[in-house]
Amino acid sequence: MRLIDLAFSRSSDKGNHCDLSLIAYDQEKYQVLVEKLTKEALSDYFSPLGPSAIDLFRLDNLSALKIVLYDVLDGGAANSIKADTQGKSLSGALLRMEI
Amino acid sequence: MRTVRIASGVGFYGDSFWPAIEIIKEKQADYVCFEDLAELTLAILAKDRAKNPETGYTKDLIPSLRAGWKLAMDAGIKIITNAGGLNPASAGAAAAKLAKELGITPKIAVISGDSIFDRLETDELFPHSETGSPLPASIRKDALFANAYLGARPIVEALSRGADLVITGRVADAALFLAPLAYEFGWDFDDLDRIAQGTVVGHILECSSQATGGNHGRDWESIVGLENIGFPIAEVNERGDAIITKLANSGGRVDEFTIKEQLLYEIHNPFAYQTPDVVMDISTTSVRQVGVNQVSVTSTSGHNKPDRYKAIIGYPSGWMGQGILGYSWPDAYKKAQKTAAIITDQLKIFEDKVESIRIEHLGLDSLHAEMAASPEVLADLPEVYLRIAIRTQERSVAEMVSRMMVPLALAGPPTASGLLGFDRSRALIGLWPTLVERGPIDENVSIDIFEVAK
Repeated sequence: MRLIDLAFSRSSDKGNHCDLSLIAYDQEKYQVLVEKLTKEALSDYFSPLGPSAIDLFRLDNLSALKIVLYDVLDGGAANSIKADTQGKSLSGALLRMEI
Repeated sequence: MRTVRIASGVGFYGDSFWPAIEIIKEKQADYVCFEDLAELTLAILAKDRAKNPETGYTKDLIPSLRAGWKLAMDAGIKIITNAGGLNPASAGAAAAKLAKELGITPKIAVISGDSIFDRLETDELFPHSETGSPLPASIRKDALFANAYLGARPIVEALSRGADLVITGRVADAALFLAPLAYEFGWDFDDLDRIAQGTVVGHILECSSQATGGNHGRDWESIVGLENIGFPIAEVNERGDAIITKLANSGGRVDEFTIKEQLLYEIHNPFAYQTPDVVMDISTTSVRQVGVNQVSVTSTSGHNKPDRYKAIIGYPSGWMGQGILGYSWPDAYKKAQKTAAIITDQLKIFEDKVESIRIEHLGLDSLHAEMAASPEVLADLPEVYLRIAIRTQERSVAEMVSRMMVPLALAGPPTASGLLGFDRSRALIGLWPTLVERGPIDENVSIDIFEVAK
């Protein structure tokens, strides 16, 4: 299954890092996320962007995960020559991930 | 229990202020807070100020006040904004002039002292907050702006001195909303849980419609009324417990999911989100739907009061040049690839002056880039737009990219069409984040009150 079957996502920037939220549709789906979505799997999946590090935080109270991809925005908002300077579309890339 | 209502005015420089005017007209808030400063906004304002030293505040400030200030004054609603940007003093003077024109007699508070630009001339190191390396001499010399993120306390003082309008420079987004709560309820800034809960309310409100169904990922097609979206309003009690809502006749949606999405937005480490007033932990925060378009937010924790403020130093970082050219079926993608190869080859005359080249295809991989979908669709694309962008320190080189693409309408692969987006060049701006001791910043903050007489 893909992450879009379990959750929705919003992403944005802080400096050169992309910050993604992954919010489960319900408690049951959150449990699946917690079991299956590891930092290693994220690291493999996002390797084409070459992040220097990845953070993964669990928020049981919100049935949500927080993911940070470091150094993936080509210098960040005002300094990037990418079309998506702020990583706003990477939420969609995350939701396409198979687990 | 007494409650105070605070509302979002705008969520960024360029946002619509009309939803806020509706809130003022219907008297559904005691305070309306206009958050104008994203990380890169000061860079935009620095360009304005370089042309005219009387500018450097947002161009939307005066039009938004013209639309809603008199109504707000009549209803006893106070306005707080960081639209002062790099020049709160000139913003205050412009507001005072407008007040005369509108025939109102407000007290205007101007808060300044967030700029650390003068300190760049000292031997202070300004270590990068992530890498620890000292500020390079080149950035020090060429810096466009340097500002610390102030917290809520100067605004609390301005309100206690009777301000009807508070104009600030670089104040942290959520602090604009925390300040009226701390003032109204007399919160102690050492009461960390309460300060954190007030900050969370501000964080949820600071991006306007992103809390009320705008840019919302869950079942987005079911959200009605985006053409008339309402901005968030928080009804907060003295414990900091909040109900987030919006005007009854406005579009959009406030539910558990829209609020969670904004609560988590750009928060990085949710156990230790750094703000000037408190290190906030949202792992205890409760978000609960309590009615139609009503969500309760409570129980945030605060860990400690940071002893340093975040500051950002903006500096010129070269130029981007780009061109965008369309190709149609048949072989749309292959034609675009060919043109990309030709331009890449031609750019070699600039040698290492071209620091990087990006090849993107609009509608195919320009947004997700390296993460874009699998290529099985490529053979039969109806059309594709090729975008070529380069990074360079030389403006003249940046300007050559689109210039080089134009002749390919005749000299390149067939069906080059839709000659769109031939930017000549765009200045790139780097941001150097650092941490500065709060003591000297706090001592330097000034709050000036201007009373406008009839």
